[in-house]
Amino acid sequence: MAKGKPYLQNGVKHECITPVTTLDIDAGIRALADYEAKARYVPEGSAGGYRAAKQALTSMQPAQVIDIVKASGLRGKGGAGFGAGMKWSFVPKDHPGPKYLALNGDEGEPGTFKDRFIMEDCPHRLIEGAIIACYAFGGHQAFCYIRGEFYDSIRRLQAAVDEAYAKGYLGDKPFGADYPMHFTVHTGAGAYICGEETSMLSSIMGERGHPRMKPPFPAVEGLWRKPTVINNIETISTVPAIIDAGAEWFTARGTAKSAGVKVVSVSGCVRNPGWWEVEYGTPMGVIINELAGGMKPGRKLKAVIPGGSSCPVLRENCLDVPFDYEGLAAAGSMLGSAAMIVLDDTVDVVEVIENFSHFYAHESCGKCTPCREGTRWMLQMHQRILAGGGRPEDPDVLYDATQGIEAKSFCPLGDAAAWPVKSAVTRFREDYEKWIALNKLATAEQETTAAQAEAG
Amino acid sequence: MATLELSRIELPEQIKQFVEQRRGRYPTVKALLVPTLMECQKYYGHVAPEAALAVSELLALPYAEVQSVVSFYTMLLRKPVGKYVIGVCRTWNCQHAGARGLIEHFCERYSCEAGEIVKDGLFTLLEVECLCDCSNAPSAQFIKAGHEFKSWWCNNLTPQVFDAVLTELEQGKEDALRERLVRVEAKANPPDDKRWVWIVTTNNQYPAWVEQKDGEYIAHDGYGKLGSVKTENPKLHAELQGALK
Repeated sequence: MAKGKPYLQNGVKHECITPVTTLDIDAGIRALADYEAKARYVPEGSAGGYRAAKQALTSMQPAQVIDIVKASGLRGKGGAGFGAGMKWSFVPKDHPGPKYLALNGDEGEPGTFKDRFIMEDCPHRLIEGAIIACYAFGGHQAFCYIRGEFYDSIRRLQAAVDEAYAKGYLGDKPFGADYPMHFTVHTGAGAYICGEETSMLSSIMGERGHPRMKPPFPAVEGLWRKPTVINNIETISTVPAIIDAGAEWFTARGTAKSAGVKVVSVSGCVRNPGWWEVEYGTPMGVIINELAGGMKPGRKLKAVIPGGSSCPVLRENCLDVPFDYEGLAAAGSMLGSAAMIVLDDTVDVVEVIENFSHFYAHESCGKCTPCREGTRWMLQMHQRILAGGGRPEDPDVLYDATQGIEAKSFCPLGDAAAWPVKSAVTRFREDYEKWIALNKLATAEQETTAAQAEAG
Repeated sequence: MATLELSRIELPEQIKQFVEQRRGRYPTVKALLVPTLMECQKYYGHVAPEAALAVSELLALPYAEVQSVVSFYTMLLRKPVGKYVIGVCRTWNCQHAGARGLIEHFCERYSCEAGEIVKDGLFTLLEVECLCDCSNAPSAQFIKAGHEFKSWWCNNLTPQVFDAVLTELEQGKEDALRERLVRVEAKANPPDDKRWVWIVTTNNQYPAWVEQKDGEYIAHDGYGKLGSVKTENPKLHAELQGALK
């Protein structure tokens, strides 16, 4: 890790650790003219937006594109970390009907704020990535699903799409190639569950956002039962740089199994919250202390939720853990959407988990029983504990409840609700016991007063 | 058997155009249901049964199917709201940064509960789940429905700033929701020996370095946004000059 190379922080170049800036968010490139003139894939030159899409459509075979992306080891950046090139290759090549690309911009995970900046500040990079991806697996239509609250993202991406159509980069003959390519911005209406891939498909088709059974996987039967590739906004925005600079350029960053870079968003009890693009494998301590400015004066680190509210909570001894899929899995958590929520010693973990339980109880779609009932039970138990009614058996009962949800719910929302609770009752049992002891004390006092009253 | 008695309303031209422009993009017209309902939400401020009926006729879908979708999505409100809807995030990052206090402050100011219409139809405060602007906690979104829909971020809120915004909106001031300065602090881990600061406004947090030129402070940030602040947002510029002294 070389010090002294520029990295980005909320749009400002700093001298620090990460040598790669694949996203041109720094300049806030919103207009097409800017993108064509200023967009850089690599800090050391190779300027020119839409160059990679033109190259792919006019001089490469689809299989070549898939091979490059496969060789780059690009993994999905929405949470699951599945190989992007691999996903594209699952689409049946001989399928006669239409195939679709569905871009997931339903950014809703508490702690996450990365896709919005791409959609708002560099929308053309996303469109360019979508063109390349569609070409690779044989699709002609991309739908970009954006959560309804992101009015600015929707407006700016739509403006960029209109520009790209006017310039002929989208339409019947993009870059003069005989490969029709369409891009449609589609809005959601406030449902976290629609960030789950099959729920998103339901929502795009005009239904309640309920998940669907897999298999058949969307790559075989997705939108309108046609093959559909679902990718995260950040994943697709990384594709043009890989096509332009090559797979080796990408694999030179990060670790052997988690290649390249990741936008990490840091929030919570740090001095300077924000997002940064870091190499996979960067120690968590560097992200928290060097990039996010460390803890507020006089405070100590207590816990980190490394990948958004769905991920298991880690204790304070996680600073040396490398920030990549393997490192976090070994530490007993997940990379998720790389949304690091930092908690300091003034924070009560029970209150945090109560808040998250409220979130999941509200956002559960109600389709399956373990999640619909389980999220509510976990919330009610947390509310009772915080209201002073904690019982000694509560941590064990909560653990038991998570076991009734985890891997038993229809879609990953149940797991997402169960993991933080499960990790909190095992790793931060003392916080629960503090509340339970308070209740015990209060009950004992009440009993003494009652006994005294009786005796008196 | 009870029948549904609803009066007919004509959807505005802009919603009809929205649908017509997009029909060809999807293999089924039903796909337009959620975006069209969102357009109704943005136009009317809520989706009344009459509007749902009009949408069901426009898209040739059963009314019950439209309502099943309306009732699923949180943003599609089924009751009328005030002119400005204030969505305050209640998820942990914002709660920890003081969102609970903001909500209580609002409810005290107007002697109301969250969700009520207050001040003769001017405001409705809603507690919403994560708005995904967690670096700018506590985060809130102001929304004004109508022919010209508008939305503003109002982040990094303190009760004082919140009060100032509400008071100016009550007075009908146009730029009440402009970007305001919340605070300026020293940046942790500055990269060099320039004067690095962390500028927190109601839109964003900017790391920037400050230069003094001709008696004025100029803050340099990557968006270039603070560079043009003097002409685009003179009030924020003045607030910055005061804070950087």
